[in-house]
Amino acid sequence: MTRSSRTLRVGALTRVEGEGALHVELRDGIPELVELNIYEPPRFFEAFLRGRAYTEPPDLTARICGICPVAYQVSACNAIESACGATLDADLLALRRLLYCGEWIHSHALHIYLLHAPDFLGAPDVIAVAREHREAVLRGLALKKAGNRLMELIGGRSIHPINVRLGGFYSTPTRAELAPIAEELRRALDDALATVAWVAGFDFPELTVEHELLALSAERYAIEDGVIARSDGPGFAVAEFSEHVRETQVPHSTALHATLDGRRHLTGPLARYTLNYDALSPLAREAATSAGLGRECRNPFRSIIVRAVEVVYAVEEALRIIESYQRPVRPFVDVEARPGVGHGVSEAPRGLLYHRYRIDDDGLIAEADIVPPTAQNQAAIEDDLARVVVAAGGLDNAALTAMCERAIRNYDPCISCSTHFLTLTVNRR
Amino acid sequence: MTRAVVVGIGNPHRRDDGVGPAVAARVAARRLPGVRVIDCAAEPAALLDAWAGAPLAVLVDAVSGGVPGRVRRCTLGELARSGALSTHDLDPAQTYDLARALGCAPEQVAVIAVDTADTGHGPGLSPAVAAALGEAERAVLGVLGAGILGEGILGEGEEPGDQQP
Repeated sequence: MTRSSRTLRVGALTRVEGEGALHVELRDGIPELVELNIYEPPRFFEAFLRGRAYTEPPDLTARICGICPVAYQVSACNAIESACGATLDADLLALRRLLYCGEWIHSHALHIYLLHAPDFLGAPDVIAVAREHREAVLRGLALKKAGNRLMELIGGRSIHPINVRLGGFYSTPTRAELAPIAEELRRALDDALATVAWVAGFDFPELTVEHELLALSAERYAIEDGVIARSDGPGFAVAEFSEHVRETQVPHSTALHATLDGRRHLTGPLARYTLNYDALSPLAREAATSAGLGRECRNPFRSIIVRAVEVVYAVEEALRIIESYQRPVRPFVDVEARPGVGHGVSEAPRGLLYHRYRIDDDGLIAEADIVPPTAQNQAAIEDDLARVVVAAGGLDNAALTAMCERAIRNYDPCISCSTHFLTLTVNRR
Repeated sequence: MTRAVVVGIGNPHRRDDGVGPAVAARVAARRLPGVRVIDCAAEPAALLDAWAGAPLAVLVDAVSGGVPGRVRRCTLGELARSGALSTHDLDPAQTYDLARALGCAPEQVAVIAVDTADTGHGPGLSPAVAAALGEAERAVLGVLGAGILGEGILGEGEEPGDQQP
């Protein structure tokens, strides 16, 4: 019997957000080492939030990500409003959800068309895709633009919106101001349905994952808030999040790894969809069915379809909110500082995003804790990689490496988001 | 009708990286007919939109290294490519390739590059780069004048740079 060993390395992952690398070592086809190396420098957000005013985390944490700033703003608002005992008016919550729909549309369209589709079309990048599938890429860009426009309109600008504050917004649009975006969204709904049909035609490698699923759940498909649901048992209160989801350091990554009650778990589109299928709109469910999805989706390669279905939902939801929109009677409710601890969650495009703050007697942030989805998903990604290299072991090194990169891009990992914290240990002799 | 687009590329919160938007602001203040001036940060789709339908695009961008304050005209091909595509790194040359593949690229693209001294955190240009703003602006106006000569983009008898914003 001959023994063989193979080492696969990708020095810098492409078509992901942030800086990461991959290292796999195989012996006789069995993975001995699978590491997603996140080497993007840590960013220390939780440390420099300490001592800042309780009103500041929505703006400061938005800077963690240029793709999903609204997720950071909303989770931060939810946590601090909860600590201060503030309750938002229903119309302000609807406007917050509308803004968040814009982020889902733009972020998902970006990933589907510019970053993920090339994997299914045998193309190195979106430029090559555009040469063969011009209409599709134009459709993706139009869809992304509709999401960006919605963010500009409600948030003041599409990257790092400036109109969000504790308790609501600095100013709210009139009904008339929303009319043009409704027109654009009606066209976007056609584009979103066409997107589902387009990605449904791709070929998907077989892979079924058993990670426990974790997502928010609500009466409507969970976006801007919800209660915590999980696939293998009853959910738990948001305030108990850090008792169940624990972060640990691993040597090969500047991002923390998280586990759910000591086990690997998965958050993001597959978890959201599977735990909230019944909350989708009839049109989104119909699109999912026509694309071959059932009530559950546990193949990460099919996450591109789930994202496309979620775009249909987000566009429809945005239109629903705009149709019943009346300008709120006040742009924000007062949020008075109150010492204590607040927990906040929302569904970022990449999954559940948790924030916790402790506010001191002077209204300053005494502690901050942020658990982003990509940090939670790292163990699941590494497990998927191990399965993929076993299943696709017959491929040559280049093809197997490409397959591994695809397994990572299935998660739309946001590496910049996940490296906001690192505990520094200094050994002195 | 838009006959030319001037795009200031860069982040004004990274010192000299803000030279592109600073030059663009000076050109914008001239309110030249048919010339649209925009700032563009890292968002690739924004650049695609910005120059779609315009025959001429002039990009003003900071270049690290070199002689601080030196102003050069170059082509997109001469700009260093960042290599891999990611959400943050669709550089201008890649964006142009994408625009060409989609059939919405400007016919002509010129780049005015300004060498930087300091791209650290914070607003404000270094003295060398601040002193080069006038020259960079004249370079942009020169391209606009040459690119659309005879179409009166610059006023009758007007020379590039003879008007202060």
